[in-house]
Amino acid sequence: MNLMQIAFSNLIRRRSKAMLMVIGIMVGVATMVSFIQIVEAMRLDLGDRIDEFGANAIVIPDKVSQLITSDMEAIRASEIGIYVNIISPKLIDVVKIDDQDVLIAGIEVNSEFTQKPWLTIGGSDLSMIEMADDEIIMGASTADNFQVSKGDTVTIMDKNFRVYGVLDPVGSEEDGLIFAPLHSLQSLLGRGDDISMFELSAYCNACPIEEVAMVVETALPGTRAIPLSQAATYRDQSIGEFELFGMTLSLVVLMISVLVVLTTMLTSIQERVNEIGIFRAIGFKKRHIITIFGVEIMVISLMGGILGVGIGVLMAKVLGPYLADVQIVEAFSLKLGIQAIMIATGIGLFGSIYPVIKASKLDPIEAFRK
Amino acid sequence: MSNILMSVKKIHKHYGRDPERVHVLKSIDLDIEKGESVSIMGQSGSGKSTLLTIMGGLNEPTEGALEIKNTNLYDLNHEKRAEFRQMNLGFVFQQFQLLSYLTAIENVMLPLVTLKLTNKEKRFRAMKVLKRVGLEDKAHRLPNQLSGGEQERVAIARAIVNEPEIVLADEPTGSLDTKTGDEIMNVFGELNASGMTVIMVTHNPVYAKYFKRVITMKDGQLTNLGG
Ligand SMILES: Nc1ncnc2c1ncn2[C@@H]1O[C@H](COP(=O)(O)OP(=O)(O)OP(=O)(O)O)[C@@H](O)[C@H]1O
Ligand SMILES: [Mg+2]
Repeated sequence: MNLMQIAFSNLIRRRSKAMLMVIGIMVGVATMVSFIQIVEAMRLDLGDRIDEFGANAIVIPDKVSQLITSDMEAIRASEIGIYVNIISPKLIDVVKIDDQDVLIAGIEVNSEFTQKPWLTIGGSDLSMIEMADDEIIMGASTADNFQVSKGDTVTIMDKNFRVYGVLDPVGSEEDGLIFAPLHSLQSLLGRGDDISMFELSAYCNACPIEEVAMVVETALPGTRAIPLSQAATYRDQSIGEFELFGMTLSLVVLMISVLVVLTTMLTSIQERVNEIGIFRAIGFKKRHIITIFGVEIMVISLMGGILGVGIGVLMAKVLGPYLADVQIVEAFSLKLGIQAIMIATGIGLFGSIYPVIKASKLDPIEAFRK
Repeated sequence: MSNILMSVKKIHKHYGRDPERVHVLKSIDLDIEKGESVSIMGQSGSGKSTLLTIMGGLNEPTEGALEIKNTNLYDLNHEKRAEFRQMNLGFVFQQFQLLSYLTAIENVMLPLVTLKLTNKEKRFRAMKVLKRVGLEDKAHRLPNQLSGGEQERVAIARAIVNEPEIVLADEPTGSLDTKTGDEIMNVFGELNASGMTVIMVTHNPVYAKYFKRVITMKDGQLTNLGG
């Protein structure tokens, strides 16, 4: 027989107390785990959304006077080329219609509308449309301004264009634009291969857009790449808010868990005063008493941690869609398991350190009291 | 004089703080020789248990010294004193004080748990003392499956498993009937016959006959040193 066996025998005998502590720790761990999982899912989701919703960065001329179409190839050939999802080139200029200045953007229709899925006509997606060279798409307020609608003819620099459609209003600068196919605008304005800017989006969830921008600047000397992070910032902010909420909730639950362990241990030691007195009287040292209680609390923590991670994963799966509008697909991972065990032992240690030290200091004459 | 095993020197014990401070032991002087069997008798509240726990190195006196085998026990720190108890003393507590979740043999093994012995050795030694108290066939029972007398035997086995020179017992027969009490007294008699020094607190004068020396106490003082 050794100290471990004493601890195990006692755990079995006082299993209702032990179970109470296991449940206390389990609840704390489950809360933390589900919170960690939801935040992680939100982060992943953020990455997905950045891909989906518009450019991560724009590239504009800086020291060079002009970008040209073939610069796209240079970006694709650079070391971040494999991460680049969409490059959407744009030529932007001002033209006159009925003596009014209007911004016109020459675009590659498919890449532009894939990158900006929120631009729609009558609610339908534009990423697969085909536009003729003499067709244009009007922004909502521009169409309103000139009183034109689908099928009308608009004259720009003595050339007639047919209105392919009018964009649904989106409440941003796109409402005041006219979109024309890049090639036809380039030839209309006599601008050859000129490009005003590229908008690019990257696949990469892990690499910061700032890094992508830097690599682009190296690949295209004389240009500036400006990370665009509005979408990301917006979502990041909501993750931040959720994190704060989750942190606060987890801390409260963790404190309750620690209190459950603390009070249970204190009453348990109260009940075991005689027993500890016997241990001390027959020659056990402080460290022997600490070992017995330490083994008990480790076993309890381990059980609480294992149960907690299981329940936490389930909780995240069920609550994720409600709390944070995310689906949790990835379930259990080794990292999560280790985190859970660490949280569990943390709760166990915090809750028991005072009672155990108190127990180890008990007087041996306690064994003679009755 | 060379036979003196334990020496209690001018011991005083106070409990509590002023103004409720009580003077429980008043200058106790007592020598116990190797191989003696001593009973401490006296009225309830006279200080018997207090004296016994001080003699067992479990209860720090307010004043005075306790020497066992020329070691001043209360000069040692708590951990060293625990070690000293483990090597030299055995205790039979009131109400047996067995751990209810351990079997008889496991209870007996307790004092050996922290020693550097193999599990087999611990079991062997525990079984040997269980035989000595006549309980080898009930070694694997839990305390609640044993009678009062049997539990007492287990407690005695636990007190002697570390082969101490001195066994201290506080009213070990308190809750037993006379017949069982006599049996237990005989077990202590055998221990003493084999060379162990036995010191026992007991209420009941009928057990006086089992001891070579009977010490009596009154109001924290020794009224008869016996011997
Ligand atoms: N821890 C303590 N704190 C305060 N007073 C105590 C304490 N232990 C004992 N006493 C008091 O000291 C006196 C002697 O107690 P002790 O237990 O030594 O007597 P006793 O002779 O063993 O009595 P009994 O025969 O009833 O067991 C009693 O008045 C008791 O109330
Ligand atoms: Mg007493």
